[in-house]
Amino acid sequence: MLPFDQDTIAAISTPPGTGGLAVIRLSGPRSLDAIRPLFSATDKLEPRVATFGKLTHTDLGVGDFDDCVVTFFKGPRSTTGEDVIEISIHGGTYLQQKLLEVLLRAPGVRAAGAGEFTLRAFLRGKIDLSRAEAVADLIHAKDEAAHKNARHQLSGGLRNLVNKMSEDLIKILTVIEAELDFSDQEIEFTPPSAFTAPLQALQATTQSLLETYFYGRRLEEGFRVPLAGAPNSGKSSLFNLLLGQERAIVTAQPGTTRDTIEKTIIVAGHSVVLVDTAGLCETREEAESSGVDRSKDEIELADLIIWVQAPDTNDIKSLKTINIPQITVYNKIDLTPTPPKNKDIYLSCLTGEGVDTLKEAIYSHVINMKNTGVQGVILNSERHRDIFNRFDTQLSGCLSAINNAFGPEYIASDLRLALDVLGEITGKTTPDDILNQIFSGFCVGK
Amino acid sequence: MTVSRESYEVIVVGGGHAGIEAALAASRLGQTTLLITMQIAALGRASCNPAIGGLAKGHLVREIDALGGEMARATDATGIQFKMLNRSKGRAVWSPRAQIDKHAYSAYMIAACEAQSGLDLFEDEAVKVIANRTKTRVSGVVTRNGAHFSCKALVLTNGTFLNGLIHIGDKQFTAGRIGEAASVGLTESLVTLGFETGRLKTGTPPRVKRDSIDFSKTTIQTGDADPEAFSFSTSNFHPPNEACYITKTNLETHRIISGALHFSPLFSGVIQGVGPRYCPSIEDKVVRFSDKPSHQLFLEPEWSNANQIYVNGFSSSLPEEVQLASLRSVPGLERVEFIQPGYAIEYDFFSPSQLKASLETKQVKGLFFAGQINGTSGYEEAAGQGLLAGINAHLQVNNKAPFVLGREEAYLGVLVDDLITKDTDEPYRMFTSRAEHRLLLRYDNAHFRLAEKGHALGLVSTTFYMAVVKQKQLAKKAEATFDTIYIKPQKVAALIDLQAPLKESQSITNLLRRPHVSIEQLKPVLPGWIQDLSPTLLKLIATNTKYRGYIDRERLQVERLAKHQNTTIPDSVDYLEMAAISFEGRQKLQRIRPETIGQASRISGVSPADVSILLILLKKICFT
Repeated sequence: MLPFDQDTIAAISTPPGTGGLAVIRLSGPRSLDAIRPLFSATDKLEPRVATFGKLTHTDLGVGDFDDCVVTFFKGPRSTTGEDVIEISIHGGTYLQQKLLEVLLRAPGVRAAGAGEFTLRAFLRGKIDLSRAEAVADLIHAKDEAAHKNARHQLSGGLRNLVNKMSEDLIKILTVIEAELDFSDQEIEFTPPSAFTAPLQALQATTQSLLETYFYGRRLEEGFRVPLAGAPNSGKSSLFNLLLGQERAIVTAQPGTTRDTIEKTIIVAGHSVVLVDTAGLCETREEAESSGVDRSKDEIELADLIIWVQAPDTNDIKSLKTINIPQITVYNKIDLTPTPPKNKDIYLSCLTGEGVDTLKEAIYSHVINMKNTGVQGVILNSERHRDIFNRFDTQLSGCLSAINNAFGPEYIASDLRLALDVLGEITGKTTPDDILNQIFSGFCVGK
Repeated sequence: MTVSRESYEVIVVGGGHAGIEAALAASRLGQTTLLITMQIAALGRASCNPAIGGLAKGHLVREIDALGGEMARATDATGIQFKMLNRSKGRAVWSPRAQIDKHAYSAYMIAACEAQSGLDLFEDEAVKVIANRTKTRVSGVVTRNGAHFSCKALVLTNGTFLNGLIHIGDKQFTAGRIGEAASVGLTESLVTLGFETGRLKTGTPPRVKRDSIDFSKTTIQTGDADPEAFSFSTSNFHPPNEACYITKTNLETHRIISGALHFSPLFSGVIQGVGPRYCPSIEDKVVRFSDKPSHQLFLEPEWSNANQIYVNGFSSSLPEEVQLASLRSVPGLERVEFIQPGYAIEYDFFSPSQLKASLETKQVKGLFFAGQINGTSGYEEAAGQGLLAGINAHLQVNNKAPFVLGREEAYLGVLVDDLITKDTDEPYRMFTSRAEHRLLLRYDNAHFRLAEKGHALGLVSTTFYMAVVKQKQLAKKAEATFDTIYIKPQKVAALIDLQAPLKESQSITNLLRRPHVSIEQLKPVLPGWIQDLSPTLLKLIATNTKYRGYIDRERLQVERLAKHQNTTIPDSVDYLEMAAISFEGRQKLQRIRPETIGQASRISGVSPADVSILLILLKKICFT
């Protein structure tokens, strides 16, 4: 968390978990640039005025991602003294994470370190000098906590993996630096193309590691499993049945569930967040319409969809959910002697028939989603993900320098940047580390 | 050797590469200056190899020149073979090297010092530093023969002379260099003032008779046919191109050495000082790289047509007879005769963490250290420090702010920052890999980077400075022009042999960025005024263009770091009281006592969070 205040930092600034609203905060000179490609009303932003608009981005799924309210605080009249953007969106950890991910891809934006907003606020004179010690202690405490957390995560596989990746990079850099610094001596020349394979291997590992992030987040937050279907298909009854308690209001009136309701159950040792959604249909009622929008969001972002149908409702599966695993449940079998074929599960909430089969189906889907990780390592922190994303980009830079037959000094420059990025996890690699490798591996010196 | 007074503004002790630059800089900047040396005839003597420059070191020499130092000019005047190293690689890592005529080099430096107005030379041995009662301000120096000089600033550049102890096999004797007495008393005087001292070791190979070598069994190595001068001010450069020769050790050589290791003070534990790993003795190489069947040896003449040859690669502290017997197993050296055996030397140094970035000591105002006394090795590293210490002694005398170069500005900046920030455990040598902004810090643009500073200091002539300003403007204009001139594919194909033909027109900038495209190939399509630029400037412009994307990225990193880099930390800070900083961080900060936040962030063991907390607490200290 070096005070590089030319960087723009971003973080979710509301407490973790799912609240009604979440706020994502950006601070730094590129705040405005970072949201411009996403936010429909960037040009309407005025300092200190909350502005309503839509968030749209191809990486955020098709169509509008969410409605949001953005407030722009022009530095120095802001909490940190820099340009600050606060984006308020509807709750849902997944949405928050996804938005943060996209923001972190903007140039010059990185994940905020422990206490970094406070640090900036202090250094810009936004916090009273008499509180210096308190701020210092706060940062110390946050850093300790982050450190402990990191140590915890790093205690096993991740640390070994990252150390191994650093070592692999250092090996390559050592060869190149030895050639640059000791070319007047007997050092065998290695063509840079020899580094392509090890760099590609590193990149493959990095990308596999990045793929585990999805699972890693799910481990933290639970797999999202919405119950979806037409109004009155019995989603809330099924929801209650799965939870074993009366959580959702169940009435015979279609459209009772106007907003989503969620609850966590444990399946195969994993948290599964069951989401009871509003029924999908054309409706004129405004409250219900917004509930339907939320349902659509939930369904499109689901890990597993449970479609609920019944003899007395329409079959609605109109949303774009091709890539998401789904289970089709035919409910209320007590109402019909001849249920249609090709449904996954036939069930009656009234008699409880078929519920165990559904539970088993959910169980096997969860087991299927299990990711064994890269050498057992699963990424779950946004900061690590940000780091590996940047590392991936730097590796591409190294590889393209080699492909374009750039000289060793270019490749070394790219490799050093890649090492610097990894260094945010393992600690910085210094020139002395490289020189030590050279001296132990090569007979140099006249 | 006329001493005109008893009181000088600046006194320099030591007449090696550091001392000379310090004394010349201080006197050129108008200070009455005295250089005390044990032997005026030994001024500028090259104790080890007869060469100046080399990888990264060549960069230092160019920077010294751009700041008005003497080393580059002396090298151009007395070099007998010039070679640009790394020529097969990009220009950022090219580095000039020259074999010098040691005698001529020394004579050049003696003449330069004698001719320098305001500089007196005095032959004696400094034995004691005089300070005020509180040991916080230097006031003079006392010599072996009882002379007492007072001064406002004192620069110590004692090289390997402080309690120097030479080892050849189990023989030991005190000396500063072979044949020259050690300096005794000064270390103790400094310890009394409160300085911490340590021991380092270095070594040098044997010198042999040219007429005892059979060169027919060696490979000849000559310099560049079109040599480049070190100094920006050298013109009409037509130096000699004398040959060096390469031969190789073999298993028999290694067998003789291995059999005699118990005689080596390095292996028997007699030598306590730590030696440089990048400059290992032959016995070290044989032991540590036992799988290598041979090691290259370079036979280098010590001066023009010298009968004395330097056996580069055969540094040793083995007994003379073992050195001789093993060397005689090498092709071409079967009947070699020694003029002087190789030897190891141990000497006192003072940990440079006791220095500020100006090379002034933290404890004693007006006292500066430069060169090997700071635990460095190499003529170029020494000369660079000497120049900076001389400049800063002058600034100190005149109550002006010190002259400090950033890591992004010069290898000299990297050198000083590394010295004062890290704990030296072996003699420090410059490498290009030490510079994080290597593509910015090139040998060819040293004047672009530093002439303005040299001119502002008063060490660089206005004529030279104005010429550099003009060149910079032309370079900028040419680089912008390269962006706007597009060449059609057919035309490109006529100029350059491309593997795949271009589909559309390309700017000169884009063409130049291709690795194998040179500015010479594109010359026919350049505007006349660019064609007319000097070849050197044209190459520099092309190099800037080639590296532009990477250089921009390096600059961005510099800017990213810049904000708090130069925030200064007051002397009075007590780190041990800063409980919010990690324990290790506090200890390290207290020891190194960094001058700026930038320096603090580079101390190993000080975490980024520690630096943040330091910033917060400093803000409070500075405002309350």
